[in-house]
Amino acid sequence: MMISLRHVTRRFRARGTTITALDNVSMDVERGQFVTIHGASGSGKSTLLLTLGGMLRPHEGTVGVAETDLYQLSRGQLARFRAQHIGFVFQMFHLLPYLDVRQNIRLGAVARHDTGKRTDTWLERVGLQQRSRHRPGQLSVGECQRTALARALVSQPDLILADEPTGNLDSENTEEVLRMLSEFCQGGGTVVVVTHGSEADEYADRQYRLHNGKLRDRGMFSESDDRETGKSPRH
Amino acid sequence: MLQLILREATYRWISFLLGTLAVAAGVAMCVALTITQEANQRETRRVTRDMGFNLRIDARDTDISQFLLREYSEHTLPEAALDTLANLKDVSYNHLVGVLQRPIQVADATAILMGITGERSPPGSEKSPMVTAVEAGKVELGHQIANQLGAKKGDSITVAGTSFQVARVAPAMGTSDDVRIVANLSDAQAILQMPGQINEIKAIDCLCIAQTENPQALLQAAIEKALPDAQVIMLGAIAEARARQRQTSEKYAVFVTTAMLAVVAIWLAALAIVNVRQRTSEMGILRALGYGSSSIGTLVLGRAALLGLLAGIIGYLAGTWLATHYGPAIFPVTAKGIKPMTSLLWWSLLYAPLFSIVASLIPAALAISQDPAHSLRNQE
Repeated sequence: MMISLRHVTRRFRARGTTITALDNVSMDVERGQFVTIHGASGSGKSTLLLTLGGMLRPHEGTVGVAETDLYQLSRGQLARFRAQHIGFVFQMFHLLPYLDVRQNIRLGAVARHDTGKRTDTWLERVGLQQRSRHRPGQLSVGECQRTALARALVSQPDLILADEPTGNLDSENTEEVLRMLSEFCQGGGTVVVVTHGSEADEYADRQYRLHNGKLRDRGMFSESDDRETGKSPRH
Repeated sequence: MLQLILREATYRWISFLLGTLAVAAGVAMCVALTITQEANQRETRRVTRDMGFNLRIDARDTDISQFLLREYSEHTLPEAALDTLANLKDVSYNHLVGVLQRPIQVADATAILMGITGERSPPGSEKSPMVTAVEAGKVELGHQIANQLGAKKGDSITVAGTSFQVARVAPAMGTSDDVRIVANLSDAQAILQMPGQINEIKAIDCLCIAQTENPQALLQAAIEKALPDAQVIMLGAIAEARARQRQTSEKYAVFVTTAMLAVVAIWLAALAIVNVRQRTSEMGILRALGYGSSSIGTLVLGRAALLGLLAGIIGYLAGTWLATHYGPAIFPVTAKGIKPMTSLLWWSLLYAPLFSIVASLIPAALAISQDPAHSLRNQE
């Protein structure tokens, strides 16, 4: 089992009120699976992803990744665990603006104390050899996301957690990014994508829907659930 | 990590430059103050030295009331007492001069004949003399007595039957010095028929002690062991002026340096906090990639160290230039002594990065403790 979430609850306090972003969420994901989690804005998707990645401690429940109870680890152990096992891809890329493409990709390898030999391989695989000396500000959004993807994959993680990875991309780049994530799965990796849209569905082995902090297999919620909140999915 | 620090510094160069300039200003201030403080102390010593002797050592039997009325002691000390005092170690006085003086009638005028030795200094504390011995067979005249005798430089005068050449006529001082005839000690001893005798040792005490200590008591205790027949008389006004000048100068330098460093530290910490806040997302992604707290802290403190290193060099050069360029105009008497101090470069290179690191400890702690999830969470 790659991911084992048990009764995870995460709350936030905002302006004097408590919001339950994750409400007793349980989920199992096998190694090599491609999983999508759908939900409207504010449904708790990003919270779930960050909790899975050891970045956000739940108030209740346990988070197991690769047979490790993440939140039993110290901060240092958790950082090393992320470097070894988890790759993140974000909608906003979060590339370091002062590093060029090659250096941004290498950042993923250095965290794992790799020499970065695979950096050039990944530069080639994402088709950015000609852009290797360019900084993020000189790249298109598609190129930025390919760089971010290469940065996540260069450390050869077991799990990729992607937060709206295609949210800013055109259809061509969307297809390219999802294809690469699918290839990662075929190679034995596990992918969890949280998204508004349905582009990733055709690659997904399992689909979930997150609504008001509750996770269900997709289809258990009706469209009216989204209408109730006034936050409809884009697709 | 160094590459990350260097690239971030060049990318956000304005913030880095402002921080560097702030620390460099602090270093420059410290360097300039240190270099000029040396000159300031030399100049202060010179000015206070020119105020005259602040220490008089007389025979223990001297009646202080009579001494203050006459300005000399009627009792004497052996001339060898001068060497005894001059050979004491770890003492705070210097510029020792043996003096023998008595009133004397010259023609129709009454004068004070004063025989003086050359200056002596304690071992290892040799200074350029402030008083030079008068050559044998010559005298120096105070302004008033010279007028009364109608004598000028080069003339011959007769004192107690002995002829002397006038080596110098001093300008009017408005003190009893105006009626003094200063001669070589041996000549004065011969005229007064007091061979091997002096009635006073004059000296300058540095008064380099804490404000709360009593310098006269300390000196009396130190001198008493070697010269039990002597007593110390301190010229309060001169001594106090000297001590106050030195203490004020030191206090001012400490105040200016501390105030400047406090301002620089606050400014640097503020810049570092702004930098950390600008980099919230960057720190978040580094966390997500598996960089630990030590790496995040190293990014902030390493940047501070680099900034401090540059500031150390710039500050040393700027401070040295300021001191050597403007110092001579402020301290004209000791201008030649204002020189670059290479040792300050090494201190700057050590302390400026250290200072920057200490000033950035709070921002580094903020960077380490901030929640990475907050910056990485997309608007849901």
